[in-house]
Amino acid sequence: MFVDIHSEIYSWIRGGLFVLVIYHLLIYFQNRRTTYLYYSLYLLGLFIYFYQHVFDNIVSEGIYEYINFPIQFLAYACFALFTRNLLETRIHNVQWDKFLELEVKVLLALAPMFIFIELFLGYEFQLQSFTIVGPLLTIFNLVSFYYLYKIPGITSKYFVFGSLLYVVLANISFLQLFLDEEVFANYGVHPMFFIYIGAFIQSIVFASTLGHSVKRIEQRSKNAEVKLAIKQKQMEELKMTALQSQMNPHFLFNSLNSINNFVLKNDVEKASDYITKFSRLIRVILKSSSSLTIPLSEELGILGLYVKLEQMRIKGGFEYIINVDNGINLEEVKVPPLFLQPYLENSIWHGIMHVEGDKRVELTIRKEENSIRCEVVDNGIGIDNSKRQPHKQINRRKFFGTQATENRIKLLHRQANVVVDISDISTEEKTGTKVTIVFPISS
Amino acid sequence: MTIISFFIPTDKDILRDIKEDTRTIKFIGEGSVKQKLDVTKFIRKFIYRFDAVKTVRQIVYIKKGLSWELESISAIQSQNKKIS
Repeated sequence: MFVDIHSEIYSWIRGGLFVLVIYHLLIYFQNRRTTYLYYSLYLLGLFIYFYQHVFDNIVSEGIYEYINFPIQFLAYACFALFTRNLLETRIHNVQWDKFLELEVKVLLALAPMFIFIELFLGYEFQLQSFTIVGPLLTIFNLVSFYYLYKIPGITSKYFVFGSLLYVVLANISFLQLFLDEEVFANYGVHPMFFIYIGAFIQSIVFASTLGHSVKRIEQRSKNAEVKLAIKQKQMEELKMTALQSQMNPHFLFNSLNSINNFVLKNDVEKASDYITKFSRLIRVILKSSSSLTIPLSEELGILGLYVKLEQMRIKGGFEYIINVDNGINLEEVKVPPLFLQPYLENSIWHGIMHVEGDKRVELTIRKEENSIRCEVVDNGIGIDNSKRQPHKQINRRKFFGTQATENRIKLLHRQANVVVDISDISTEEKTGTKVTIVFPISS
Repeated sequence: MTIISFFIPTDKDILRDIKEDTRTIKFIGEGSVKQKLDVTKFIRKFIYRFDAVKTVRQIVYIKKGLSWELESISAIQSQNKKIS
């Protein structure tokens, strides 16, 4: 049974290979993954190579003398492409991927070369050439398997096992080039028995490998979908938080209260001025809240307007100093709208409001390599003291919006290199608080 | 750039206003905007390169509406003597 190449077992294997060719080609047309296309073409090459034994001598000596070796080279070229795709060597082993790419080119060159050899030099010369090329290919494959085995994941292990088995068995069959057919017949097998069995086992192993690979891709796709859904939800929450934490609601109510006070005191001019600035601020906030980011120039403009309103409310006022590095293009640096406002608000109402004498809030924007550093420094009572302050009528407000701001800026820059630090800088001679925000420059 | 965008006089603006160039003027620091209730000013310090005494001077701009107007240039001395 194993001696006769026309027996059932060889026919089954040939038939099975052809079915696999069609099957994987159909899967390719369904999902367009080139892994299936290359595998299908590899199996087609093997099938055509095996099919020579079905034909009689006239056909096999005619056509197959031309295509016997070229079809193998083409099949192995497709196999190399299949390997690169399945194991993602472009990602996992860039170095060896280049060698596989070279192997494909060499095999594609050898295929027509052997046809020319048959044309001009005859089949015997082809055989002799293959006795040189064959072992070289085998050695290259064995070395490849060593590197491919190291690729993480079970797919590479299955792949190497299946391929190694095929290579070993195929080489046993190729010994027929050097040995008599009788040697094999004495063992009760046709010389091609081993390569047929190798192809059969390899197909089974690869079926499992491809199944595992598909499962991995589907899992990756599912994970990506889940991550995307989470990110989208976070962005929606971020937008909501941005809208909600734009401004402490107390500021809005207290501003209306202030306007009321100006009117009651008959200070119409001040009331009018405050209303004008207040409505401008609200308009700007509503406009900017529709964007996730605004230019830093706009942010500083809004802050200036906000601080002006606070200065109008506080008896004696306070000084607001802004220092900006000339090297910063304020139009190009993008920030979440009103991300600095909560810190300024805290400096005013929890810091400088409680000190006598000169009150000062200083905002410094500096460029550091690929980051922007924002510092808000006040000469208030210091954050440590502020937290110990008893609740007073006029100061019944909380540290508002700073956590939301911190989250917004960290989410915007995906947590990379974002620093938010609030520290008490009080000494024996002076008191104060310093807020430092560092984030990467992004356009 | 919107109507509310923050901006300050550039080095080019300052040099044009004081009719000098970078060969004669050396700026000190980046300058500051000082915003109080009634007035907003931009202050930049500089020295004349060929001034042997290296007197530090400051140029002051005042915010009028949406633009900056040159207010004064003075030497930073104890009397704050105005030059122009």
